[in-house]
Order: sequence, then structure tokens, then C-alpha cells
Amino acid sequence: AAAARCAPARDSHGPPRQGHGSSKAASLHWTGERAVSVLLLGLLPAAYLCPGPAVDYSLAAALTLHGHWGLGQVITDYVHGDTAIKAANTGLYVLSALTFGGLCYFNHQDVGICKAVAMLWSL
Amino acid sequence: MGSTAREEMSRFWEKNSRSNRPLSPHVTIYKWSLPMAMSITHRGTGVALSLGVSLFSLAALLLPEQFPHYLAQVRALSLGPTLIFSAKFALAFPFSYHTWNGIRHLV
Repeated sequence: AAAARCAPARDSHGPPRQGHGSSKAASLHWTGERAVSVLLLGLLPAAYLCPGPAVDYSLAAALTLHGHWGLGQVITDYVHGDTAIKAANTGLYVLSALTFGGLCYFNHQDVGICKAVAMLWSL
Repeated sequence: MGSTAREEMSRFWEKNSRSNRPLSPHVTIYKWSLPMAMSITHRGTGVALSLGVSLFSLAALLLPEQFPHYLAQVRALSLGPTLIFSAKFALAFPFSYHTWNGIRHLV
């Protein structure tokens, strides 16, 4: 008799949801990654056509963020174990912070990214 | 109420690290395909470029002189055009590959 019991015609838990207590963080992160990629792509012709502080600082920001998120994905893929993951991500934050700081310093004190690339290529 | 992907992933890794099972061969035995090769190259160039930018950034913070000084030093080395071209290629190729392949990922 119990074996003859049919499954309910409708799922009693209601319509499909993302899941209990889920957040949209992951999908927003994904969208953010694509947005920064497109921004960075747009900065390349901008750097060539209108070099200057605005593009320099935008490049510093977009480059650092794009790299930070990219390396973050590499860590997620290859680093396993809670402590290792935490250590790797902390190291990444430090690296990215230093990178952004260094690029801004270069833009402020030195010739700036656009000019530097132009000068390097004139070699 | 199910478990999160992260919880399941952790459980998988903990169980498998504990059991000391041998890792099934993958990159060493499967025939390489173009998509595989392009994907790992995209990742490789990305990591290399990122580290390069970070290195440049740290150099800017730590080195005493400014960029034009060091550039003048390199210019004074009077390196052959072949070497200079090769160096530019070594910089431009990973950058271009990553950029164009990146566009392919975006569209």
C-alpha cells in the first residue's frame, strides 16, 4: 500500500527558488567582472588617442581590479583547504593593494602609464 | 534546505585528501584540443601580465630613480634591433593574445 503511494502532483515546497538564504553575490561578481573587462578594453584606445591623467588613473584602477579578480579565480580553482584559501586570498589582497598604490604613485610622481608605454615603445 | 556548493566542495576535498587516493591522470593523457590550449594560454598570459603589472608597480615604489632615467640606461646599452624587437614582441604577444581572446570570451 505504501509503495503504491504516488508522488504529489505539485512540488509541495512551492516554485523553484535560488535556494535557502542565497545571495546574488556570485552572479553580481560575474557581471562586475565582465563590466570591468569591457571598461578596460575601452581604455586601450583611449590611452592611445587621449593620453593623460584621467586615462592613467582609470587604467590603474581597471587594470588592478581586473587582475585581482582574475587571480582570485585562479586561486579558487587550484587552492584547496580552508587555511590555504584564506592565506592565498589575503596575499592577493596585499598584492593588489600594493599594485594599485604603486601605479597611482607612478601616475602622480612619474610620467604616468600612457606616457611610459609610449616612451618604452620608442626604444 | 540543501548545502551550498562551497560546503559540498569542501567535503569533497576533505574526504579525498584524507583517503590519499592517487590522482587520476588528466593533462598527461588526454589529447589536447584547441579550445583547451587556448583556454589555458588565456589563463597563463593573464597571470603573467598581472604579475608583470605588479612587478612594475613595486619597482615604481621601491627604485630610487624615475622611469626616464632607467629608460635612458637601457638606451645607453645600445642593444641590437633584433633584441629590442624580440623584447617588444615578448611583451606585446601575451598582451594581444589575452586581449583578443578576452574579447572572444565577452561576446
